[in-house]
Amino acid sequence: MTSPDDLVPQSDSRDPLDAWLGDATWPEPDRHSLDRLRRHWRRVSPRRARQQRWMMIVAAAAACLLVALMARPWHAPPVSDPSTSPKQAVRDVPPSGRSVAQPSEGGPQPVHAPKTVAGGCSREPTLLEQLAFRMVANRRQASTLRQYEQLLDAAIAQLAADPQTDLNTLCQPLHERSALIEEQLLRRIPHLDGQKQVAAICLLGRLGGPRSIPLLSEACCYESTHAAAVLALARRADPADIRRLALAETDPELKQELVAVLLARQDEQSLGIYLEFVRSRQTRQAALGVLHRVEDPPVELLFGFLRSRRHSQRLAAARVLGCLDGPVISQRLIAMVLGNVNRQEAMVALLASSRLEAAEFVEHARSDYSLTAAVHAAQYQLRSAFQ
Amino acid sequence: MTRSIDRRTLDRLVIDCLPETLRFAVRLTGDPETAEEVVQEALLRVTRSWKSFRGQSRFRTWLLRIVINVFHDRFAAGWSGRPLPEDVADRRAVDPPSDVLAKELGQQIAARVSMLPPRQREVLILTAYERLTPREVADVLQISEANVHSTLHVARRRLQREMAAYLTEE
Repeated sequence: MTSPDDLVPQSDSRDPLDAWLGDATWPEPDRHSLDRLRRHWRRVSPRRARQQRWMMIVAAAAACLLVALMARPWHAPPVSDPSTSPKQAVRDVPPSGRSVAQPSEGGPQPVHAPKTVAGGCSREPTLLEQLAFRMVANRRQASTLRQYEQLLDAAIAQLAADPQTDLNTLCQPLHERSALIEEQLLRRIPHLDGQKQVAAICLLGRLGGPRSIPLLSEACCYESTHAAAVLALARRADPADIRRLALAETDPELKQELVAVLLARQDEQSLGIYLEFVRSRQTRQAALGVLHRVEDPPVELLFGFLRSRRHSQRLAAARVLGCLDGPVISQRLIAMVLGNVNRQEAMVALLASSRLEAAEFVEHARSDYSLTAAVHAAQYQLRSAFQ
Repeated sequence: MTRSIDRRTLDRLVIDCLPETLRFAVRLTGDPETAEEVVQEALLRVTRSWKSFRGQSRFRTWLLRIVINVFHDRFAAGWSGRPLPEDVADRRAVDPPSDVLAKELGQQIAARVSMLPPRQREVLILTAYERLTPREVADVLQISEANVHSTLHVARRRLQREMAAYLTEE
């Protein structure tokens, strides 16, 4: 299996692709390209635009001022006759009686150096102190790393010896440093084999992050690790990727596990894909078969899908709601029929249900003049969509 | 609350990022002239939307996102692949010198990277050449980190197959 560290071309990586990528040479842009782009930016930049606006404002103001100055002589008021205008003289301000301070003799006062703070002072660590701190820190880090390596070894050994071990319990002490554990697993998995490799992949599925996806995708291609890798991948892959895995999967048990992951995800996109599986004849059995596996199916989302714009999604959601067990669901569906809210879809769901109250309501609806047509239409839709 | 940058800072950031942005655009489009057009268009979009940049990501990643959007608008919809460069030495010719062969290989790889489907191309170039972390790539492309990893994996496998086929041609 290839190394999962395939994000950056490294000359010392084992994968030749990394060396090739490092050697890739693109055509060089014209040497004036950058200059042209800089000039383009200077023409269009917001700073330039603002400068231009200010210049226009200033120019407009200057023009107005010029016009005002030029027009002034024609509109100047007449000069007043000094013999008739009242005398206006500036009053003398009496002296305040305060004298101005004389400058001090001699130069400015010297600045005293601040006293040292009693009880020690802070300073830069010396080189020796820095080295000592680093050694202690490295030693602590190394011992932590060793501890987690030992925990990981123990977890792999235990899971390999007993595949039924509860993974949640096994992973609990390792969760704290999951990034470190992920890195260790990514390094080790290519060098392990047999049950240990499978065990390590299961642990990676629980503790790993998106970085582990390439290695898990690779592990799906090998028979010995396929099942573990597929399930590990399903925990963190996008709904579209899970769909792809489920469609490609030939093992019916694994296929159901993957479809169950979609149902358990509790988001619209995953549920939409799940409903595709319900709709499709090839995958319907697997899709409906996982309903009992999921502890907390997304009931509210399913009711939301009854209002979907796509007819096939509405019918699939109705079918699934009908298969889910629960008096609350039946009551809601009955209320929807009586309240004429998504009546058709609610009726399809009630027809698909095996609950007693659903069956009783449908019987009543057949004899109710206002609901008979809805029952027949729903029956027709159920038959034609899910034959 | 983050604030948008001022005009002077915007100027400085754009000028600083321009060389690597052009380089990125060349890798994305495979053609220097097209790359210059894409960057020009991207700069126009920067002038229209710079106030919306509030420092939630690095300026460079924000600018790369704009370049990718321009690329999508102009080219990805009509992407149909371009022919491989023809002006390369014929490997079957009489013993071309090793530096010519190395140059040819480099051009071939570059051409094939620039011919990947748009999303695979973007993810590969951003991780392998722009040295962005998967989280940053996910932020630029507005996809999940898991999607980045799986797309990168698919892109690498595709390139490996194509290059293996190219190198074993006799």
